[in-house]
Amino acid sequence: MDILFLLVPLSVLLALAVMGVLAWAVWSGQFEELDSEGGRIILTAPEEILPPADASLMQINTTAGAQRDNKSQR
Amino acid sequence: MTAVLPIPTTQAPGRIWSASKATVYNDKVVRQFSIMAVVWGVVSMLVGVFIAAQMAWPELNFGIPWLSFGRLRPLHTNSAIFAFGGCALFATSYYVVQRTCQTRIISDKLAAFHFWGWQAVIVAAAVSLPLGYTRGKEYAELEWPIAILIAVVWVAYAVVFFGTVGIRKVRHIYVANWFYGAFIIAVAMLHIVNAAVMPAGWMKSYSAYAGVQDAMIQWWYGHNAVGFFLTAGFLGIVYYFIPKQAERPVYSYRLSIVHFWALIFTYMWAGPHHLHYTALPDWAQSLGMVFSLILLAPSWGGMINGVMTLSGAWHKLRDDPIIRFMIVALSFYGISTFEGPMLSIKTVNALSHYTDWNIAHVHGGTLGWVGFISMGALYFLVPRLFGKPKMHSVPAIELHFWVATVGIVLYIAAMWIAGVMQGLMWRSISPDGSLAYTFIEGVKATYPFYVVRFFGGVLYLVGMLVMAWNVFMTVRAGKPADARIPAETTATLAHA
Repeated sequence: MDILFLLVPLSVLLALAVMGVLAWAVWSGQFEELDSEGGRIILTAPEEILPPADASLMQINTTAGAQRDNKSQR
Repeated sequence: MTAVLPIPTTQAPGRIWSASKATVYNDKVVRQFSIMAVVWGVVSMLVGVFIAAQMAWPELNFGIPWLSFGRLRPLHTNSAIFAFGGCALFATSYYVVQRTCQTRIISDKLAAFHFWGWQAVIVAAAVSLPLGYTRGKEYAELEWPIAILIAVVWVAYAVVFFGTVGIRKVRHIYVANWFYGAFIIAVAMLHIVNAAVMPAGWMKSYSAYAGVQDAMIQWWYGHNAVGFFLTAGFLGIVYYFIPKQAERPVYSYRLSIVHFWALIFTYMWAGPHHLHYTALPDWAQSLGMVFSLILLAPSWGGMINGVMTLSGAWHKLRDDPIIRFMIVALSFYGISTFEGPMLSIKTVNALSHYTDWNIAHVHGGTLGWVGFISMGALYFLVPRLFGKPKMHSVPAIELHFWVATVGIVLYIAAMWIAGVMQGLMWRSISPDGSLAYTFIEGVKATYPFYVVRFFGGVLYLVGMLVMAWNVFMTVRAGKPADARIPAETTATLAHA
């Protein structure tokens, strides 16, 4: 099983690299404010989209909201 | 119910935004990959249904070598995983990395090279595999010139993705990006190590490794491809698109971080479970089994975290077919990540190995988990990318969901029964010590289950065709829309 002389060091190197990245993430403060980070993607305002053709400004609400509306129309 | 349909607001003076590149995300590459994900989804499932029919009715070979099962099967797996799954991952990762970093991708040209290069790889596969060119390694069949192209395209992808994370306007790197990042790095490493060959002509090569060494490398690659391509990447989709569609943050953001690090630290050594009872040393097999069993913990932690995101809003499961696609995908993720460790136990594997049980396991993971989470994300993306408030037909999403779900259930139930039956028939011994059944008796007994599997596959394909029609109608009615990047001050304030 000579191949393990390749795979085992490769795995050890990889684990060390992953540990290095984890250490960077911890020490650079990536995990300081976890309570608020999860919600940020939800809290951002609805996206404003620009159809290049007429450049008129449109706002799209969430699909979930749109479907609720769709239901009430039916 | 206000502001639900697109409202063309009157442009306030001084707020006329031009679609210049600095102010909008690059959604062109997201659109391209999204559309091709649907196209390749139809193609791969069509090939899958055809070869499923060949298993039941081998006459469908028609005596034409290009249509033989051995050549079309890798075409099915490659197009399903790398064309359909790949395009879905690329589309969502470009969408997510730009939104969560609040910046445009670092290079439009490299992203365009990524798109066209990847399509070239797929077309090369679609031509070379039926012609019989193969390296003979599962999920790594493509010959060396194509393998080199894959490596080059992948590096371009990595540069764009990590470059974009590097210029982010938000200090925190959202958890989905970690999953996408791990997927990109791990697949690059796996591909390069397993693709090491000595070329012997333009479409022929010999592996750099021999015998059981080669088998070990192949399944180190093969299982980690499952782990990082078919799991980590799609978990990136879970952690962005489920919260967005459910309109609530992930149940426990802390747990999602733990899920990520636990998964990548423990995944690498599960591969040997593909080589139970082979020439691989016994201790290496046992090591693979132990690591496979450990994997149950982070997998189920992540699965529960994703499902619980709906906590307090369970009615969405009833009202919203898109969220249903996503949550049912997680259920199949849970089933597969329980079944996988169980099958890796040597005594269970003694019964299951080389039977159709593995086919059931794989398709629970691909049709249920990978397929459904991709479809959910695509239903989320397509209207937004084309300036529409929702898909052309929401009832059609509903129809797709139910047709596909019934298809999966038929498929995996048939293969579960067939697999256990085959395993039991192969191991049963007559009182005189001879095998009770010949191999062909097992094949004959499997026939009805192959027919049921075929119909399950047809249903899944029909669902995909409904999706393709729905996407076509949505795209036709809309027009490509580019989303404005929120003002930098908003982003930095939100962080402060």
